[in-house]
Parts: sequence; C-alpha cells; structure tokens
Amino acid sequence: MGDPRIQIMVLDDEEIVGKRLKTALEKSNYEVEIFQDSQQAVARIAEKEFDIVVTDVRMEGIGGMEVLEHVLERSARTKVILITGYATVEVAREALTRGAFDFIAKPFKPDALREVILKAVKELGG
Amino acid sequence: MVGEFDLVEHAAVTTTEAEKTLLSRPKISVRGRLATMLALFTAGSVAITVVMWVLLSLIDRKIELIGVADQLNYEILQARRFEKNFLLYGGDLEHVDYHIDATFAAMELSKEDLGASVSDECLEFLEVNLWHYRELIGKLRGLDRSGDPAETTARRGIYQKLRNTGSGLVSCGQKIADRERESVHTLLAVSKVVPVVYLLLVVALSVYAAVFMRRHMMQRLEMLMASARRIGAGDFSPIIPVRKSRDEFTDLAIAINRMSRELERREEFLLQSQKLRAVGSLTAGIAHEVNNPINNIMLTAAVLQEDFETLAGDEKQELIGDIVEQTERAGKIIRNLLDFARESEISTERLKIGEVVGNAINLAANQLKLSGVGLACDIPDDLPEVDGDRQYLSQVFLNLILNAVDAMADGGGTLTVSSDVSLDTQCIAIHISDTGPGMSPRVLKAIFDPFFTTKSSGSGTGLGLSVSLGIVQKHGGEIKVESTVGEGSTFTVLLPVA
Repeated sequence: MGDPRIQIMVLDDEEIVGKRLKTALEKSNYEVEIFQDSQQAVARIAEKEFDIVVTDVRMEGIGGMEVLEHVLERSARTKVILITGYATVEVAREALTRGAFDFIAKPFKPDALREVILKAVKELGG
Repeated sequence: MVGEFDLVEHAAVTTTEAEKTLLSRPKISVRGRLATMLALFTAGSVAITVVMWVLLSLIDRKIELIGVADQLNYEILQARRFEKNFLLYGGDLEHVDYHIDATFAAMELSKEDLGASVSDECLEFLEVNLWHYRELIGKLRGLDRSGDPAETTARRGIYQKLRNTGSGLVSCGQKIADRERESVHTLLAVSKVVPVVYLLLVVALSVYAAVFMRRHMMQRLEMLMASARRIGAGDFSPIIPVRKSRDEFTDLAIAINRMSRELERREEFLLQSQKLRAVGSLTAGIAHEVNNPINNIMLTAAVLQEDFETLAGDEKQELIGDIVEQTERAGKIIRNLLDFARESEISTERLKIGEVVGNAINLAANQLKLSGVGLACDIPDDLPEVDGDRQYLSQVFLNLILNAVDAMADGGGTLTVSSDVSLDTQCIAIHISDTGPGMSPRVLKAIFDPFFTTKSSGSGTGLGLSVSLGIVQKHGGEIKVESTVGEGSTFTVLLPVA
C-alpha cells in the first residue's frame, strides 16, 4: 500500500473487536482508529474524513445506520462497511439502499474484512 | 414419563380418575326421582278419588237400605199392633194379614239388596218366622171360626207362640236396621279419616320434595357454581364425587371436568406460546448477544493463528485468555436462554426472590441497553424467602421488565426495581416502575384481560400480563398496578413469605 495510507475507522462496542481489528488491519498497512462509543466516533467523524468506516449496526445510543448517515453527510466518498450481528436480508438490503458499501456478518475472520476493505480501496483508488 | 408422573403427584385425583369414580356409582337420575314423585302424587290422587267414590256410594246404598229396613220394621210393627188389638179387644185379623203380606212384599222387593248387606241367617230367620207367624195367625183364625170353647188351652198356646214369634220378628227387623245404621256410621268415620291421611301423605311428600330440591338440586347447583368459580380462578382440579349415586348432575360434573381439563391444556398452551413470544422478542437480542463473544473468539483466534510465530509469549497468553473468557460468556448466555425456555411443570422450591429478579434483569439486559433505558435496582439480600417456581416467576418478572422497557421505547427512561416486606400480610412486594407515558384508567382496567394489548399488531399477543397474573396467583400472590398518565406505571408483584 502506498502513501498516503488509507484511513480506517473501526467502531464496535465490543472492546476485543477493536483491539483485534486494529492489529490485523495495521498489519496490512492501514492507518486505524478504533472506537467503542458511537458518540465519540461521530464526533471524530466530524473532525476527520476517513476513507473507510467499519461499524457495528446494533449499538447503544447511536446505531450503525445513524453512523452511516453521519459519515455520508460528512463525505460521500467514504466507504462504510457494516458489521451485522444477525445478517438478515432486510438489514442487508436496507444498509445497501442507504448507501453502505457492503456488510459483513458476525462472526467473521480478519481476512474476510480485509477482502471487503481491499474492494473498497480499489473503488476509492479507481 | 417423568412429567406425567409428576402431574399425578401434584393433583390428588386426575380428571380421568375422577370421571371413572363419578361414573362408577349406581345411577339414580333426577328425572327418575321427579317422575316417581309425580307418579306417586298422581296415584295417590287417583286412589283417594276412587276410595272416596266407593265410600260415598256405599253410604248412599246403606241409607237406601236403612229405608228398606225401616219399611220392614214398620210393616212388622203394624202387624203386631193389629195382633195385639185382636188379642186384647178381639179386633179384625184381616189387618194383620194385610201387613204380613206387605212385609213379604217389602222383603221380596229388596231381598237382593238386603241379602247383599245383611247376613243370610238374619234374612232366613226373618222369612221362616214370618211364615210361622202367618201360620199361627191362620190357626188362630181357624180356631176362632170353629168357636169351640174347649180349645181355649190351644188358643192360649198359640197366643204364647204368636207373641214369641212376633217379638222375634220385631227384634230381627230392628237388628237389621241397627246394623245398617251402624255400618253407615263406620263408613262416615272412615270417610272422615281418609282425607286426613291423604293430607298427611301429601304433606310428607311435599316435605320430601322440598328436601330433595334443597339437597339434590340447590346444593348441587351451588357446588357446581363454586366449582365454576374455582375453575375461573385458575384451579383446574377435577370435581370429585361426594354422593353414593349418580344422576344428571354427574353428567354436568363430567362435562365441567372435561371443560376444565381442556382449559388447563389451553392455559398450558398459552403459557407456552407466551414463553415463545418472550423468546421470540429476545431472539434478536440473544443472537446479537451470542454473536458478540463468538465474533470475539473468531477474531482473536484468527489473529493468534496469523501471528503465532511473531507474537510474544505474554501476548499469546492475553489472546488465549480472551478466547477462554469469551467462550464462557457465550456459554452463560446459552445457559440463561435454556433455563428460560425449558419446559417445566410448576414446581416450588425455597427461593431468594432477589436472585429470580436478578436473573430476569440479566435476560433483559440487552433490551435495556438497546432501548437506552437506565436501571435502578435495589433489592436487599436479607429479604425473606418465598416458595415458588424459579422459571415461572423469572418469566413473570422478565415479562414485567420487558413491558416496562416497551413503555419507555422512546428512550431515556429509568426502570426502577425495588422491594419491601409487609409484616401484617406476610407478603414480599417487588415493585417494577417505569417512567413511560402511564396508562389511562380505561387501559388500566383491561390490562390483565387476555389478548388486550396496547402494542401495535404483531408485536404483542396481549397475553403477557394475564399469564403472569395467573402464575402469580398460582403462587398465592397478586399483581397490583398503579399508573399516572405522563409519569409512569408501577407493577407490584406480591408473593407470600415462605
């Protein structure tokens, strides 16, 4: 991956998800910021434009769908990847119609996310 | 099989056993009894009518016979009067003959009638003596006609015989008349007694009918009404026979037993579907809840696998520790879910109610979090224990908590769970309060009705509270509710102290 490095935000209320994804994605040479609290994440989105936002759908307070809207309001080019706890067709369809780039269902391996991120990067770069 | 055995253990008599016992008794139907009573009454009335008719006819006849006997007597007396006249003053014997003929005529005329009522001896005696009398009169006339003074002695003998026969005739006639009078008196006396006896019988029958109505109809109806109330209150134990015989009420009792068995089955079904509803509403939460630790395990294991060679020892330890911890977390969620969904009969045990409420709160924790509802729980450890079914009571509290959360769906509310002990009623009270919109008195009145719901169609069955109330009442407790529009509602579960 060349410079400037791809900026990725990972938002999940599970601490371990953030920790592991940070390790895994930094290994693939992305710059990663992790958040557990969606409030703080939304505030950070207002400050900084991320290339890719990976967010959980079901969270206390501000949910993933709302985060998606915040991100797209802030920057339309940012790719949002949703993590869904229960991947039903409706959730997926809604996410995509609302402008999400893709979604990934729990439980997933870091490699699966890397693949989706790679697709997003290609689209960003293209 | 174990479940069935438990059921037998719980209820003293099962419905089918009760039915068998109900049916095994000899059948004496109410209809049969009533028909018998009516038949007795009718038969009595017919009998009294016949008896009175016969008696009155007899009396009528006797009076007629008295007339006949009097006529006989009169003729005999007349004959004797002329006989005496003849003896004393030497009158005409033709008059005596005339009255003897009249006596014969009267006797012939009513011989059948007299024969029917007076003994043959008496009649025969009368007839023989009458012939004898006439003979004597004939002889007397013969003597008289000869005019021989030497026959005075014979005349004296005839006089003597004439007197004896005559008095015999008179007393016989008198006897016949007296006898007839006497029998009229007897018949009249019987006629007086018969209606009195019948009246007594009617009174006795009426008293029996009243007692029968009271014992066999009213008491049984009251008993069945009491059973209906009992079943309405949720006690589905069958009606057990108390009498030695069976009748139409037995059929009703059997029908009621079948109904209550059906109701019990339906209630179980409702409880089950209620449970399914709660499970259904929890499923999304549970899926999320279970997916989180599994995802954590997956990510951690994947990182461990990828970087196994490069990771330091303590880093590996940390990752493995995370995996173990997250596996435990997933297992605990599954255990809670299984505890909740497990099929079980109500089985009581000594419970710390705080634990049961705590368990329900844990199950609802995710819903609380997602709805942004705050929790204030204050249940002291030293509450007295209660006797109850852990699963069912936990279901009640979960249901009340989920309702409270639903009431605060707009977010930002606080769920307050508190408790107190009432010493005079020996009850523990668990209060579950929300800060939702509250309920109007109209809604408040209906909330325990089955199928009543304020939730949009599809999201609630309207069974939660009615089933919960049923469960708590089975524990000898009660659910009370207070609500103020705009401020929130408080549900209070009262359970008797063990």
